[in-house]
Amino acid sequence: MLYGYAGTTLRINLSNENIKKEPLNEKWVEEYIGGRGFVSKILYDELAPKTDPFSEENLFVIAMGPLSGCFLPASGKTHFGTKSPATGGYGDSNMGGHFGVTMKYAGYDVLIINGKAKEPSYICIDDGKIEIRSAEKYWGKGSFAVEKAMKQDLGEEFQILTIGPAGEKLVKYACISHDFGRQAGRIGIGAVLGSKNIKAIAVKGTGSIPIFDAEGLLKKGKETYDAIRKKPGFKGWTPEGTAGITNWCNDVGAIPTRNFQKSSIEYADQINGKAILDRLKITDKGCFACPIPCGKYGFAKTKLGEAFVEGPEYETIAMIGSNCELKSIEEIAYANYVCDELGVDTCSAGVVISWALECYEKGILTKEDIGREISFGDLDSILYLLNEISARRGIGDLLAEGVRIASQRLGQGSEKFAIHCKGLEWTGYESRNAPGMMLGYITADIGAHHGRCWVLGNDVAGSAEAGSVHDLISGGRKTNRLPKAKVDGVIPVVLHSQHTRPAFDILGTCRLQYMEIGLEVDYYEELFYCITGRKIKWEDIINVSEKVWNLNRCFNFREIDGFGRSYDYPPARFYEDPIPDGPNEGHLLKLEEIDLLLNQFYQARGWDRNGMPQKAKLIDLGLGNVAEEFYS
Amino acid sequence: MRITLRLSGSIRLIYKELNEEIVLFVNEPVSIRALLQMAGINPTVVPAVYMDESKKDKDYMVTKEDSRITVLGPLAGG
Ligand code: SF4
Repeated sequence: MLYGYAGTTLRINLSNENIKKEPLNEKWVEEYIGGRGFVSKILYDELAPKTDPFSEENLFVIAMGPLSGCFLPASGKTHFGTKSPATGGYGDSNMGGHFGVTMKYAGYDVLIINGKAKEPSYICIDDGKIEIRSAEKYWGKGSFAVEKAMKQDLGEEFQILTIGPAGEKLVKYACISHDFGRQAGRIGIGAVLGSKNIKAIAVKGTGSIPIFDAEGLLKKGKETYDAIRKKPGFKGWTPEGTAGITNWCNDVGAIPTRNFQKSSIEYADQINGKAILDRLKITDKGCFACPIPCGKYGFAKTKLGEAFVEGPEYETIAMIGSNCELKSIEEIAYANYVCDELGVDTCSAGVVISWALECYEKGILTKEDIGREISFGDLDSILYLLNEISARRGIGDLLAEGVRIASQRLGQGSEKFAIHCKGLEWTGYESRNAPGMMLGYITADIGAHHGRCWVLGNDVAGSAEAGSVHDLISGGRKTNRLPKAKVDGVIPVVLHSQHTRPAFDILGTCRLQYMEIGLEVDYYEELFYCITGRKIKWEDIINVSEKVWNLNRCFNFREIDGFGRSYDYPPARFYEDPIPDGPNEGHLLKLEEIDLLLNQFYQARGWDRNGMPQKAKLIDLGLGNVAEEFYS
Repeated sequence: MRITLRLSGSIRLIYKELNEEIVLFVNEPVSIRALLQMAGINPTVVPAVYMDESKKDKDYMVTKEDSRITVLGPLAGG
């Protein structure tokens, strides 16, 4: 008996409508635990090399972890994976809410979809009954509209995930939406579903998960809940959620502004967590079993429209807000709503749009190219571009390709300020004076994403060898300028973060209870034992996380021609143009500093100078078969 | 005057050697900023502090015996 797992993998081939249920592979469980681990293993083993991300053969995977849906706090995370149309490499994305938990209650830990439906369809999973049904009446509609309609049609007990019109049109940063405001946003995961003609997946689950020690779990689960509520971070976290970080990011000169041309703003108080509480919020909203609900559900009214919307989270505030220079929380929240309804990732959309706005300012894109005048700070311009992108109309067709391809096609020097790495657009942290953060972004397996490594606080504090900076060296006086950060000592900090943050995606829980609240890892070890009956140490989970990291790196070497070191650099703006304003004025990481960081990083990881995992490293991690492929 | 700093997980991810609770003794009113420095925490790293159930500025002067101050760290957003 596999305790902690529903026990079944569901495979759906959309082309021939073959639906297969098979016992969950015990080797996956033993070696990869769950969630992100399963996604990584399945994509590496089952996806034919060089598969086109939009071909029928690409796989779309949903995988849950052993802790998902069990009696412990914040155990509602769902993990998605595919070969990314944005990067051409390994892609995964994570989402809160209630979908994956319900999928597990329906009996499935893993769902693997391949093929392509003949017509717009949705997949209906009603416990053991699986059907591929026509989605004709939902096709072309927005994510919220579809979720609402499907709940009315099928019943409230169904959990729905949908794509918006952007996913149908294969916008390379189309997202998946669920629970009226939760998204799996990154890597174009929604576009892959669209390429398979799948508008939505609905699931109802009324079963249960076998638990090794149910009484022990009940006791430990309650203890964990109480422990979280007593932790110092508990009270501070919930009121504003992630938006609570806005002023801090501005204070340390890390808030992207005008397509990363600047890194500080004067209007932070107009777009921060407090502004959400004062002007938008109706209620808190959380994922399955979460004691610290970070979602803020509210109502935004602007001259151009009004909507109920969850968010905006900090990333959206930064990327759609300051990076496009929207200066009011209502406008940011409304643009957030439009992104969600159309089904585009707010981070990538913010980068693509701000790049287009800069191109327009520089005369690289003209009024004729765009179809009208556009400008930073103008909500109407931003909504116009979002609609063009989602319909792949006019200039939107180019912008729908993502900022890497759009800038390569447009040329004229626009590649320099196309802010991405590996084809995935950057997120909400200026990193020219944050070497750890910069390294985290440029070496992340899916491209420039903060979810893989977030060490901005360490950068600001000063690296271990560099010692603390700013207030400490200024004797406690407030200074308005940060010294240049030193690059020494960041490698262990980055590695720790790169292994720890995704570890929660393997277990199937939210990481914030640990990362923000400070819940000790012992809780996870004990909960894991109560659920699965297997004793595990936190180091074992971290080892799996490292193994996954290396497997994904090999996936990228296999799938992307010429992959290696040259893919691990930021856009030239970040090493050629010093930050012109704010606390980090005058700072940047020079190319030689980035090279030094990469050399140290590769060495610490056991990778060669091109960033390829070395044979001994792969064998050491239990990836002997992969070593054989690359080194025989 | 006895003052307790209570550190969130996100601060302790940066300062791994620090305990969740740090007790400091001072002879006169002192700013939260100075208390953070006494504990070895760079105040710039701290986005928010709470005392008596409300958010306080880092320059807020602590005057009460047995004050308990919650120190939040930065975190990635969404
Ligand atoms: S902290 Fe936020 S993201 Fe994490 S489980 Fe709770 S509501 Fe979901």
